[in-house]
Amino acid sequence: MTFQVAQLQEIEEIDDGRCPFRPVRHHLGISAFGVNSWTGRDAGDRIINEHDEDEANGEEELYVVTVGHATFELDGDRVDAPTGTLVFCEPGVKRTAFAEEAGTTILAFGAVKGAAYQPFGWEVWMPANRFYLEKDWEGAIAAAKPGIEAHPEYAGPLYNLACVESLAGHGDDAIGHLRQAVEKASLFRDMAREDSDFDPIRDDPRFVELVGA
Amino acid sequence: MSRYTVKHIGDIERRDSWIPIREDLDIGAFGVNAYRTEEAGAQVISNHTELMAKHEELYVVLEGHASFTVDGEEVDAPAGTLVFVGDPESHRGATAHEPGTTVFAVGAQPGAAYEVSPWEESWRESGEAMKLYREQRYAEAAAILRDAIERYPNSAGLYYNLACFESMAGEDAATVVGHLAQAIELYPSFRDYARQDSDFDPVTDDPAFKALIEEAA
Repeated sequence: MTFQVAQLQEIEEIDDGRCPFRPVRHHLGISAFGVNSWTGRDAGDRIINEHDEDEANGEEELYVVTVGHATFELDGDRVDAPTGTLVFCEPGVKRTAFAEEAGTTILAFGAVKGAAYQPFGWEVWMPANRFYLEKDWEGAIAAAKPGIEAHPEYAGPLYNLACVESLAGHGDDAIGHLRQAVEKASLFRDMAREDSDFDPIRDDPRFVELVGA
Repeated sequence: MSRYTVKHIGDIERRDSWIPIREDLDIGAFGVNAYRTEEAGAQVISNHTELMAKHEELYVVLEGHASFTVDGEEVDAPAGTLVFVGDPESHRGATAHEPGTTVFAVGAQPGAAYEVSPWEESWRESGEAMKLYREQRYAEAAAILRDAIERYPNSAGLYYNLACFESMAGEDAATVVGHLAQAIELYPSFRDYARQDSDFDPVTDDPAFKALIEEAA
């Protein structure tokens, strides 16, 4: 099969405890850019989590309102966005969006300018995220394992698993999974150095060796 | 200061059926265009492969109703359909079943930073020249591009097509190789592409041509 076809509304939603989304990139097996979609069930629902992509590997993002009517907030400016509106943000712009109508759908595309796209596989982590947000570390570990076993190629879920294992007091597991994540994507070394989730194992000599002081 | 841009798709100036979103919004991380036709039965995505850019492509039917053909297989595609073509060698295209059918296309090459298409800025001249090329009027097609190069001296695609047209028009190998070399300097992927481009058959035995396309990329 050289191509994949899907109806957007038929891709199963992932509820990560924030705005539920459809993992389009992951579903279709796209590897050159990121793409997800969000649908607001009711008017007033937040459909894009507030974020700013203001990190070392911040992505350029293009949002397309495909159904309904949204309102974006971009660096504090309110922007009306009926169907057919394109919103392009460079990294650093604080952005969020709300549905003005039930069923409002936004497709979001993203990639880092000047760099090859690397799928981290955050989609695979998402079933565990609600447990993470509730600080239920054991619940997050249990929820994350099936996805990680099915998709061992992704670095992102391994990194997050290491985070919750660290928080849960499973230092050996955390070191092992963090090592796997760093081997797949070296930027996780820098992230781990700054990430307070690793405070419980920060003084472990293996952690110091892995990420540097 | 970070920049954001908001625009309705209907407010982007169209180039025939092409809505050049990437260029209009100045996106640098991936390619994105939309195509719209007002005519039922018209081609909305032209038949093509992605052998040149090696892009994965995702098509999204935003409005109307299209029918895709991918490697000979037909796919019904009402609004909301996603068609992902991962293999650059796949032949793909789409026709519209309804007036106003609009298809969004996003593309990039896996494992490589995105580069703007070497034809984007000179789309008008490239289009005119390609029309003549398809009618086998190679010398006239080359003349249009020589003129366009005066205005777009850094457009890799113009040099590449000029080399093709000159080759087919029977011009001397040195001229062809000179322009191909300029194209490759501006856009190195053209070296691989030239190796399999039958437009260069007339110069394929030329030592300078051989040396140019066999250089390590």
